[in-house]
Amino acid sequence: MMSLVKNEWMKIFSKVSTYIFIAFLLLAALGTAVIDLKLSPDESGKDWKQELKADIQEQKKALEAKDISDEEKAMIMEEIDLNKQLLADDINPDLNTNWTYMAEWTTSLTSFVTLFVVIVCSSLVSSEFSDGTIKQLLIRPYKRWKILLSKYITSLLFAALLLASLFIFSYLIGIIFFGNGSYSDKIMDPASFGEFSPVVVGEYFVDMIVYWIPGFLVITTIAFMLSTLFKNQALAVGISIFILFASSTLNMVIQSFIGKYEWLKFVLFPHLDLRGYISGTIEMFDGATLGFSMGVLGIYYLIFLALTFFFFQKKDITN
Amino acid sequence: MSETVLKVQSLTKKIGKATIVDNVSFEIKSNEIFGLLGPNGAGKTTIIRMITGLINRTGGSVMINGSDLDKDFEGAMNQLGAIVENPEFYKYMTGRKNILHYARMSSNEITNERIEEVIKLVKLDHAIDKKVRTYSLGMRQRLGVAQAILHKPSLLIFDEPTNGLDPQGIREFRDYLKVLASEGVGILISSHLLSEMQLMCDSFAVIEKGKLIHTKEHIVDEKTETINEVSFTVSDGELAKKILQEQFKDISILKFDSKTISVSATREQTAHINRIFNGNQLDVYEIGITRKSLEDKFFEITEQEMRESV
Repeated sequence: MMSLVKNEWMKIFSKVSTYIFIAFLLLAALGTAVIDLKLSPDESGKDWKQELKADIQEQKKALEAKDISDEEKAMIMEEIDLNKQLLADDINPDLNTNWTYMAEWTTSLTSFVTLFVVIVCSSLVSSEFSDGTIKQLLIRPYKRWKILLSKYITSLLFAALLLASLFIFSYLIGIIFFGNGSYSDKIMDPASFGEFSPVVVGEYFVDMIVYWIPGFLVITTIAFMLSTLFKNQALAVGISIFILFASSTLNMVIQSFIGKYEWLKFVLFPHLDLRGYISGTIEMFDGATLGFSMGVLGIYYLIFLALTFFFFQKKDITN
Repeated sequence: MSETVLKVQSLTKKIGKATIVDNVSFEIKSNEIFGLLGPNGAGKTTIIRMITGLINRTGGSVMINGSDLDKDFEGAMNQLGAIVENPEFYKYMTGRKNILHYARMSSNEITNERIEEVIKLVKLDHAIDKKVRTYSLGMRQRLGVAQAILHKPSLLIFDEPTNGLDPQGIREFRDYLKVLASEGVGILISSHLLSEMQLMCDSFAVIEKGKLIHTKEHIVDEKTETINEVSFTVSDGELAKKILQEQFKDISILKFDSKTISVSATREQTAHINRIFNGNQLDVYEIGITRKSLEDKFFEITEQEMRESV
């Protein structure tokens, strides 16, 4: 099995596109760091605590104004409370370090990892068919499922490599642009607007990645399955990426009907992105728990893999 | 002592109601170059793909060097080297990486020395580190031979191997086959190009409409009583004809003129006729034998089949 994986790895790294993907991740990390730097105000030389205190003073002044409605009053009161809590808990709302950069930007760049892994893993099978090399590959002393498994394992290893590259690039570029922050710095949870919900920046980043992985694995496996079933890379990449990007839209449609049709709970789309479970603030539908979503994903995952291997084992190679 | 390296028994493939391959059996021994002949669409490729495990069999068994394809797929495959149709490679990799790829897939370990040896044998040492994309068809064919023989298999299969090769490429390929067969490998070749097969093969089978309609152990066998067309160039054609008609009542005269006479005769009969001519003061200047070509035989066989089936 090791030698089969080595072979697949060699094929991936004999293609120019592979290096372009890695270079793209580097450029994306660089680009987002530049954007982040431009967007955030220059806070150097200022004391954030003094700033916050000044803010509170200004907000208090605004409260005393005569021509202000009750609604506006309530909003300003909330802001004052929030700022006070930030001061009390020693949380810098404008903190900008390599970790805050990663929590904010790197967690979105993982979509590119999905895209590239989908492209590579669907070409691992479909290009054997389109190049005609499948005939030479399958007349070796290995059972077919072993050959397919080696390709699947290689896809996962490649995914791990891309993720690791993305993290290393982001971490180092983050240090260069924003300085080396602490893993345990506290920030406001980006998913909660206005509410006081502090999170540890490093933990938040790790959660965002860990909760992203199951959906990512399922998308990759769909691409792998489609490329084996249809022997067509464009189709496999197209459908998988469509699922990736359409799932949030489909999700909304499903949620509006979920009260009516109980079985919609078992459709794949609402479960693809588990990151909603991190803060626990968003409830997808009644009774949706992380365990349930993981279970649904797990069952789809096993069905997709079983279909792929069954089909590949039985198939007549006629092209 | 030659062993059976491929034994195919009642091989059958049905797709829906259509029978693509119908109960085909044959054997190939080591040292033997065996040709699978037949028009396009007769089922040659289907037979080869069933033997190589690329498509499922509806019925029948395949044994490669004693290993049953169903019971010991890996064992059987390790004894097989093949080019199925065109020699296809990973074009974006070098020839060497392609060879390495297949070397890693062998059950027995293949040393670097063996890889170098094979590359030299197929005369690709100057181009082996170039991408396969840059190779000519002839070079790809030689790389195909290299990957097929790398693990020293006992059975080699080449499906339509000379498709698209130039005459020099065909000749080179033929020479490889002869060398490999002399080293003890059994070789199965499929083709619809009969004249080429005649030059390559020791024995052959004819496939038509999925059925094996003829097998012959040897295409040219000096000892058998093959009847050839023999033409004698003599000093007096009239006299020759007279002698023949008197002495060889069972020999048919095909044509004659004042200087030559052609008859259908076996090897032994040819020698006998020559002795009689000499004994009758008839000078023989030349004896020419027109052997029937494989092509003639092929059409003879297929036409005969067609007549019988009508």
